[in-house]
Formats: sequence, structure tokens, C-alpha cells
Amino acid sequence: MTTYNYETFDGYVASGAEQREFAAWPDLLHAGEPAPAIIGTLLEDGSQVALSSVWQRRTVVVEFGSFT
Amino acid sequence: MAWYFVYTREAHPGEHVPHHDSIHTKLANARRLRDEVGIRRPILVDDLDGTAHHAYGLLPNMTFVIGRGGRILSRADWTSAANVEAFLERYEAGRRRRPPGGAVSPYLTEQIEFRDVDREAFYDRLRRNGPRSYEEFKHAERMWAERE
Repeated sequence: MTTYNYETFDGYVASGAEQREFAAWPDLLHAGEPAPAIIGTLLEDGSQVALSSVWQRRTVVVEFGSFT
Repeated sequence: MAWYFVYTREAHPGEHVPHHDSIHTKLANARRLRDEVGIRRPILVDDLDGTAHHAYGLLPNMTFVIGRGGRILSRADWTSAANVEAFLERYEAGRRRRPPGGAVSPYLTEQIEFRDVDREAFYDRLRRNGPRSYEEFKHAERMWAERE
């Protein structure tokens, strides 16, 4: 288990990580800048997908999320 | 146009939707999210350490539009499908436009938008994750109030 995958939300808030992460957003990644190349596991078939191979051909909308 | 949902960490883990202690838990949660919520977009599961999530900023519900070639066209710290669609329509129309002068030039904007907030519906989703998910969020609300 890593700190990234916190077990409790209030523990995450109490640690200050939530404040730091939200405070960092304004200085990160802006329109006009190169998008970070990322790789994920496609849930449908377990294959590895590199977004950089997708955006070579098409515009890509990328949403990040979980249950809540 | 391609749309992807990148599954990250669980923002409010609970008894029913636990935090990720292995990639197997993460994949299982992602399948459950797909099936319960009915996500039809392709789902990319990030690795256990959140490498992709870290690269894009760690917020829980961000959306980026990335143009052909890999340049960021827009970013939002909250996902609104309506806003994304409106942006894409505006962007494509702007890009293709040929004014009397014969050319268009891109420029940057930054705006504040508003989203609906339904606290009770959100609390219901927390309870679906598990009772402690709701209790921990209520505790966090008290911490935020004390900070103000």
C-alpha cells in the first residue's frame, strides 16, 4: 500500500496532502503545453494503451475519476 | 475523437469500495464502477502508484482535452460533459473558420465555471462506498470548517 492509496479520507485531509494537491493545481499543465504521455490498462481486455499513440491520430478527451 | 476515463484511486474509500491495496483490488473496483454507473467510454486503469494521476495533477475529477499531436487544448479541475462538448464544438468551429482576412490565430483563455451541487446525493454516494466513507467525510468537513 502507498500513501497515494490512502485508507481513510479524513486521514488524507488531516495529513495535509489534500491541501497540497489542490494548491498545486494552478501551476500545473496548462492549455498549449505538451500533455504528459501516460499508459493505462484497458479494462475491457487488459491491453496496455499509450495515450500518445491515440493522440497521434485523434483529439482525445481524458477524464480522471473513481466512484466519488 | 477518442474519449477515455482514467480510473484513479478511490477518493472516499469505504467498507464496500475499499482503498487499493493491490492492482487486483483496483481492477475489481474499476469493473464495479463500470457496471454500476454504466460507464461506456473505454476505461484505462492507472497503475497502483497512480503514475498517470500524478502526471496530470492528482485532483479527483479532472478533464483534459488533448489535440492531435499531444498539445493540451483545455483542462478543468471538475468534469462537466456539457462544458467539454461546448468547448469541442467551439474549438472545431474556430479552427476551421476562414474570416475575410483569411486566417485565424489561437489565444488562451481561463474562466471560472459553475456546477450543480447536490450534497444529499453526494452523501448517498458516500454511503454506497460504505458507512465509514460518509463518517470520514463528515469529519473532514469539520476539519475544513476549523481551518476557516
